[in-house]
Amino acid sequence: MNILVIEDDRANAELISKLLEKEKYNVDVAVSFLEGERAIDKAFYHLIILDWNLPDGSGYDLLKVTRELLIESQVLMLSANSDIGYRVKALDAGADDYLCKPYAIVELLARVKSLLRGSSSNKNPILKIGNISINKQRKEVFVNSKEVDLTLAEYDIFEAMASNPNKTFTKFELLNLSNNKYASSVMSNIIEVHIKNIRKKLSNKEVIKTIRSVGYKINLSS
Amino acid sequence: MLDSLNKSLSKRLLFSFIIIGFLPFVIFLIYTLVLSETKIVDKLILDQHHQASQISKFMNTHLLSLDKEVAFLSRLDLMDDILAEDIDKRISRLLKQKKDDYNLKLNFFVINDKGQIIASSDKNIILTKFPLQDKLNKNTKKFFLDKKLYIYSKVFASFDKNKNLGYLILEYDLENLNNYLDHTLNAYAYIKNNNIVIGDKAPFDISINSEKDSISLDDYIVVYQKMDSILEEWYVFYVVKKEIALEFFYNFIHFMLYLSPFIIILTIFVSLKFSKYIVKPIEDLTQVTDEIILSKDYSKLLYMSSSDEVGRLAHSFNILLNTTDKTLYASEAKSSFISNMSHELKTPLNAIIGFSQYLISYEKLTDEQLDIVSNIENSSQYLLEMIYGILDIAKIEAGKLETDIKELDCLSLSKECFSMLEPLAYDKGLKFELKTKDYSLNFFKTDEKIFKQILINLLSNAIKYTKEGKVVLELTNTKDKFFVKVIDTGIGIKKEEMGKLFKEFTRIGNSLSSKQKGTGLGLSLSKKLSHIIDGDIYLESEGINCGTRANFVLRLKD
Repeated sequence: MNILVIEDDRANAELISKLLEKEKYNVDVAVSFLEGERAIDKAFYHLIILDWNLPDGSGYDLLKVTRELLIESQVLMLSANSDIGYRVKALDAGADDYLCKPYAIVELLARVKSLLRGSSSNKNPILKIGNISINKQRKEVFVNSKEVDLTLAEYDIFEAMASNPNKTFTKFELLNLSNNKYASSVMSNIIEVHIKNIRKKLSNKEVIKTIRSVGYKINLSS
Repeated sequence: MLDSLNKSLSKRLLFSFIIIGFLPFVIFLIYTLVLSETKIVDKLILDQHHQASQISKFMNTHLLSLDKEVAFLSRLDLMDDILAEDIDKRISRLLKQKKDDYNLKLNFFVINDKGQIIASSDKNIILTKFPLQDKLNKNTKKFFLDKKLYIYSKVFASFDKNKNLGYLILEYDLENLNNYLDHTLNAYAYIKNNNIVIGDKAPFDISINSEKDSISLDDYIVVYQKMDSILEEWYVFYVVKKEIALEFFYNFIHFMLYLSPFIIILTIFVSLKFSKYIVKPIEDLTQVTDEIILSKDYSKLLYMSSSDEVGRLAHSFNILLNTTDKTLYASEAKSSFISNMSHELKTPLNAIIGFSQYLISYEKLTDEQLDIVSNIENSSQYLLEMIYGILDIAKIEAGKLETDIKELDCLSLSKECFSMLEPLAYDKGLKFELKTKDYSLNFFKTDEKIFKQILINLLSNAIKYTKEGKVVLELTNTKDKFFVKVIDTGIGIKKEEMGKLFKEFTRIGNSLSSKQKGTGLGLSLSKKLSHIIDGDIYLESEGINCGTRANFVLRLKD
């Protein structure tokens, strides 16, 4: 799948392209309005990741241009502005999703995957890790076919980790995932507690591996 | 009435002016009504007494002169003619002459030692017997009979001073004294001795109790006093009808009462004019300031032509406006700078965090490298959180934080926050309780995001600063307030440090907290946020290790 990243901040552009390449996507980068417009003209992209502020124009205008040209790419808008008004404006103009900076990379990945899945219709709601299975649609977790009662926060954490089994999650990433709106460093300890509870409820200490001083990762060999 | 007075300067002024305008008039009216009547009566009595004394004096002077006349006539040599029975009528002519001189109702006559009238100013009684001879007495030289006064003197022969020839007698009609009584005041003026009355007698009897007195009856004022000298057994009376005496006074009162509506109208009219005149510039000033506040255009200036206090006030106000304008401009510039800065900081920070997470997630790092990258991520997260906090504070200070006030089930919201933090408390081995038995509100109007943010901040703080014991979230409400209390058994706060806690970037410095994470913005931000939703936050603590009680109070809205 082809993804176009239009982002004038080179560091962020590189971060996104590296990340997506790791996930086996083809990524092109454009660093201005003009470059972006040309790239869209030249080739079809399944997804365009579009930054709002560009040095020679606004991503919002580029979005409108794209939609006027009837280009059917999925568009994920990025912006440093978290005001609800911007989000609404972007979605109204035809964006498929909107992500505020700063974002956790796992969230960006999740959005990208979700957007692309929408166009590929390859949806598998059941995830399996050893004897544990997760029904993403119904948000249910089973151990040996027996349902385990996780809290919503615990479920969100476990599902994100299970969906990205190769990825190490930092506590902050998990905190953002579980309580996006009210995340605060004061609460970073809560992730430890959630992990502890998940392990206990799944009766499996090995399923989540602690990466010393960094975070957690799914242990596929458990 | 009082309330409206308190609210309006012009009404207060109007009220004061009316009071000031009326007060002298009312005082004067009351004084006149209550005191003047007595004073006028007292004055009248005094005047009447004075008049009575004067009259008494005049009457006596008059009678004494007659007495002297009698004595003088009796010593004339001519009186020897008594012996010759006044053959030549010389005495009679003299007495007639005298009577004519006086032109009064009186009669002079001479009796001889046998009581026979020898000579008289009234020739009709000559040679008749004087019937009252037995009343003639050496000592008194006078006596009264009915309305007549008799003054007499013994007549001695000029040739023999021991020889008594008879008496010279003046028969004086007391009605003559009526001329001395003044009747101009429509008063009853008279003199009285027992039952004998000269003058206009009052239509009622007056009992005499002392030598001099005054009696104020319902309709009359009575003044009497004893006379002296010849009239020593007599009393002089003045009886004045009250309504006549006080006629002028009553007329005056009527005049005042007729005048009062005009005075009321005049006072109100003048008061209105004056209070408007005084308040007008202040009203103008208020109107302009209202306009400025409404339009928020502080660059406007007030124009006041007057150079009085109000003019000076306007001048001072302009200086304040100018300062406010500058301060606001500076504040807005600061807020806009902070807001822009925050946005600009987010982009590179996003890359830093993203790359840290990327490295941790996808690259095979050594333990040492993991440590370093993890530190980078950690610090960036704190920085980010701080930027969020600063952005929020900047928004609040610039008045740009918008709220979304809705009817909310705050019990559910509180439970949600409670559940969110419950694992953290249990993990620390703390009892974590939710008390709602004194909470009776179904719905409460507030902003969900702000309410939750504050509650989570307070709860996480409580858990953070409590090593053992419990943390209680208690919801209560009164008629007009909603209290959210977070009570912990944690490290507590020193009294002197209580105030510092709401300052940005402040954490209380003690051994436990130094290990704690946090930006130091949470409490300060929560307090500011609470003000936006018309609430407040305050802390209570008995001191170190005595726990803390965080109170989040919200006012109930209609």
